[in-house]
Amino acid sequence: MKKVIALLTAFMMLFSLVACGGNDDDGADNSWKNIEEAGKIVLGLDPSFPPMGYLDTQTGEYVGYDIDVAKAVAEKLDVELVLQPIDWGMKLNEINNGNIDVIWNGFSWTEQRAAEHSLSFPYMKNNQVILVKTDSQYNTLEDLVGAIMGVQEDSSALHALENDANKAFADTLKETVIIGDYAKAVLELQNDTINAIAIDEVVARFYLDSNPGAYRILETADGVVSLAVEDYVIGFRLGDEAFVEKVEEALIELSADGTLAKISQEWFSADVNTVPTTK
Amino acid sequence: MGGNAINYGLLLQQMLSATFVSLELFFFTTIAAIPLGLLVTVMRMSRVKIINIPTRIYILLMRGTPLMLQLMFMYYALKPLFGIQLPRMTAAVVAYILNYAAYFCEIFRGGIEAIDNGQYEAAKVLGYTQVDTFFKIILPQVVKIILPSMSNEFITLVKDTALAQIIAVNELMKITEYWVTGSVNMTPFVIAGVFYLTMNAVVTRVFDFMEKKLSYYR
Repeated sequence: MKKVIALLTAFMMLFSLVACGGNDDDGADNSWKNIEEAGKIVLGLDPSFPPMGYLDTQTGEYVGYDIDVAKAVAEKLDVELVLQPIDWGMKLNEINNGNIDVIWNGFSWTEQRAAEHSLSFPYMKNNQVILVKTDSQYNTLEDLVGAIMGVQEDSSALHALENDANKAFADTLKETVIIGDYAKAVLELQNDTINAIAIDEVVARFYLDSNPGAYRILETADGVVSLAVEDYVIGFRLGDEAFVEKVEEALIELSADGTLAKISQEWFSADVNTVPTTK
Repeated sequence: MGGNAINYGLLLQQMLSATFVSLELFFFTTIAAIPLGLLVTVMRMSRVKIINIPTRIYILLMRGTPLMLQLMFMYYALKPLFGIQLPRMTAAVVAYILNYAAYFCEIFRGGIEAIDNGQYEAAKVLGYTQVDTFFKIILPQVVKIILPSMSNEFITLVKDTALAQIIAVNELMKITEYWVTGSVNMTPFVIAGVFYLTMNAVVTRVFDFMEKKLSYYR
């Protein structure tokens, strides 16, 4: 239902975009000027996506790897960072209507998103993996024949499952259940209403840490079973190239001075950032 | 990575402030939807077709489509269609008011039509004006008749405030979900249940009290 309406409104927006003919009335790219004038970047996040962006139940604040990096970027650009929780299924509407300026919350690169947004360069690699209960009999993708797979709505794991490369595998599943967010998917896994979850590796690792021994990621002798290897990028409004450039410049500087490596160590105990150190 | 233990003091504090958001939705909706509902009732009962028919279409739209869709329309579709962008909370409140006024209208109409025609005739014979007849004779009886249906709607509205999360209004249910995600622990859901139950216990008590006060013929 949500998807259909999101699509409908997206269509309406497309028409209105065509009607105005560009991101601004005079056709110029004022995206960075507008941000500078507003003095703030509004970051849309789905706070149910640990460890990239979620609610710290000790401090009651939104935290995460993406949030820390975004804060550092905002500081570099000398603007305020405003965190706006959004419904993940509505992110395209939120950004096109100007309610948020960036989608920066474990946002993987996909062809469709590249057509709908202006995107930054990749800042981190991500794997789409399979999370199962530790005591389940599943070890390989073949074992999952007839299983029920849970996946978050409009997530890159869902895109990966629908991808041609995984079509043969997806067809062997009994059912793919699309769930509002991964927190609920994990509850379903606990209750055995689903058998496995297709999920971003970083998020899966968060759940492994939060409940040691309960779950495992499918792994064979060759390593982690991966449905897709992806890049995390930052989503902007289509055409906001000047703003993209500013953010990328800040990221490069932060990569060069070691800030990104430091933040990455804090969250993943390893330097996973892939931002270049020079232009 | 982040700790998962729940700071319960902070959780309750955030849930309480989210409850105020839900209550805000509730109060603004009831305050505006009751008079609007009355107005719509008058229009719906009018015999003039250009008033009556659009009102019927409005009621059909409001009752015939999901409230969630109406919320999304109010926040996401007005800009591409008409260039109007309401703030989140305003969009939510407007959507709730328009939706609930339609339901209220039908309840009011049911109450008004339940009054026997003989009473209007008797009032006329006794020399009451039309306005006096409505406010002094009809309305007090209507209020009594519609109270149980209205308590239903009020209780539903308390729970319907949770729908505003679709346009990212941080009401009680959404905040609770964030805490469940961050902690991988379902306890906040149970607490949210208690919060909603408490609110509706109050609504129920208020309506019980009103019914008792109005049962002056028993």
